[in-house]
Amino acid sequence: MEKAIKLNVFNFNKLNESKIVKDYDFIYLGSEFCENLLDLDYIKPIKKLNILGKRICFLTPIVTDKGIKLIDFLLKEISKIKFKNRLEISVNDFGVLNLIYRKYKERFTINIGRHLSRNFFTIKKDMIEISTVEGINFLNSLNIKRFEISNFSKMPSIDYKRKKNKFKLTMFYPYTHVSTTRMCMLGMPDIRHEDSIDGINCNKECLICDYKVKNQKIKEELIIKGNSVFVKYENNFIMDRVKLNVDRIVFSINS
Amino acid sequence: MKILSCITEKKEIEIFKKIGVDEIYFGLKDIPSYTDTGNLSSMSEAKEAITIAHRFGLKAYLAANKIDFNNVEMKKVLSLIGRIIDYGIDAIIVSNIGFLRKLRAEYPSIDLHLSSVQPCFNSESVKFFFDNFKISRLILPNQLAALEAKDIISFCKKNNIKTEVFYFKFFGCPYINGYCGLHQQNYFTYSIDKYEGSMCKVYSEKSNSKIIPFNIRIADKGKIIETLNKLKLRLSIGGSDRILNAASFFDYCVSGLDCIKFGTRTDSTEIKIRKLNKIKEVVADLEYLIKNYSREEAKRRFVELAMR
Repeated sequence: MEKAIKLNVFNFNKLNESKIVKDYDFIYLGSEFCENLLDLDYIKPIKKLNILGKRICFLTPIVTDKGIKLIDFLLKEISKIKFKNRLEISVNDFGVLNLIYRKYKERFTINIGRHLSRNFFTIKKDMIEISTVEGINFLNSLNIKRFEISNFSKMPSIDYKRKKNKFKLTMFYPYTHVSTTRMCMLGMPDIRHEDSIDGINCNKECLICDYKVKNQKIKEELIIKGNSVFVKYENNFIMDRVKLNVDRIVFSINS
Repeated sequence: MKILSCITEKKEIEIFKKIGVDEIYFGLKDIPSYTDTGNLSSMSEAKEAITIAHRFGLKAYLAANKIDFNNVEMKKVLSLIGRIIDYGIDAIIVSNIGFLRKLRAEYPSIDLHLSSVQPCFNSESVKFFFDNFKISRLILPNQLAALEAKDIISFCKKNNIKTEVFYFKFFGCPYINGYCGLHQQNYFTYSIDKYEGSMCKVYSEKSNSKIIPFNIRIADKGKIIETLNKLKLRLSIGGSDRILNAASFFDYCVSGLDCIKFGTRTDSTEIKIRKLNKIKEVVADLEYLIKNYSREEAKRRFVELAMR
């Protein structure tokens, strides 16, 4: 079982590097859900981790054309690095997938991020099944085999239709992704009816803190982290991961 | 610019035609789509709906846009779709990748419209769906502003892909459509047995909700309180201000958009009629303003009229 940790550029700088190197096989860096948190600052930690010999997965979110241009530029720069281990990139947008497949497929391995995985698996807090084998076959034809999923509330019921060899799963722990919006509840500035916006000009309010919502209607707390909503399931760490086909766990400090 | 409307009953086709609707779409029992509400109940009803639509010169589309189609559903649906194609359906509205692939392979000449449930936020994404599945129409997500969609519209024009956007006043979930888990208890557990609502408006006055800042990384008390108040308001009214507002809708319309969509299948016929009349009126206003005023002035007047 591979152990990974998910960091953003801000907590990467604060954490003790030698501890990261020692404790984890893989470092997940980048922005999984928000285009505004993706920036050129990621090049430096990627270079640093590569020198330290760490395996790296670069996370990318849903993006507009502005974000596609930024990712293209980032990947052009990252391509110049001589990686000790092949860099993996998680995609949550079919446009990013297409960009990498068209221009960088010889250099990087593509994984399907938590957001896009819902195209290929039906996932609930206590079940997982392949949605359409045809979808997984299509990705296999692009040489994509790894899918990212969230944690479950308990060992889920599973229906893989005997196609386990066609994919591998990475599980994020302990936050389960519930929903994402571009109209971020924290950072979206007010927009008047007469305003034509050309992007979300937030002040990155999400970097300050997260918010939990306690409510009588549901048993769990909703956790609002930037533009996404999560619940936390952390008392279920012992699961039959072989049966689940999970061979990598990503510990998330923030989400 | 064309107007496309959902129908949930055959009788609506003639009524909507009189209002000025150019195209209709429907859901059908046994064919999984984004919502189970308002589907036509049988194949024979679908056949009749297609025949009536064509008699009135309207194109007819079928919604088959569930995002997490399963294999069992897909096999059954593919044979039903074959029959619907024989009845003369003009296009299928789709979102799931596996289903798109299978449909394209089995029915190479049918038009496929990419649902907003599979939202494209960039032109590279449209290229992906065009190159791999030859989509002929793109339904744009309402979480994307027209100015952000310039490259998408331009790619679509170049490749003869028609574009469609929901009328901004009658559609507006802030979360990414098709991928939102706030509407059912798939990821959380209701504590009230019969509660079936969504968590989008979790902080209403009656809800007794509490919102608590945690994981504080920067001790900026002022900013935390300001954001907390913003969050309380937004979680009581179902989200932030919409990106697809009156101004952005105007921008879409003048950028070469092909079609305005109305798709609230939960509305009664009477409400649908009222809303479609409003859309027709708005389109007429828009055309008049563009013809008679500078772009800037037309936009100012349009926003004023649309928000009245």
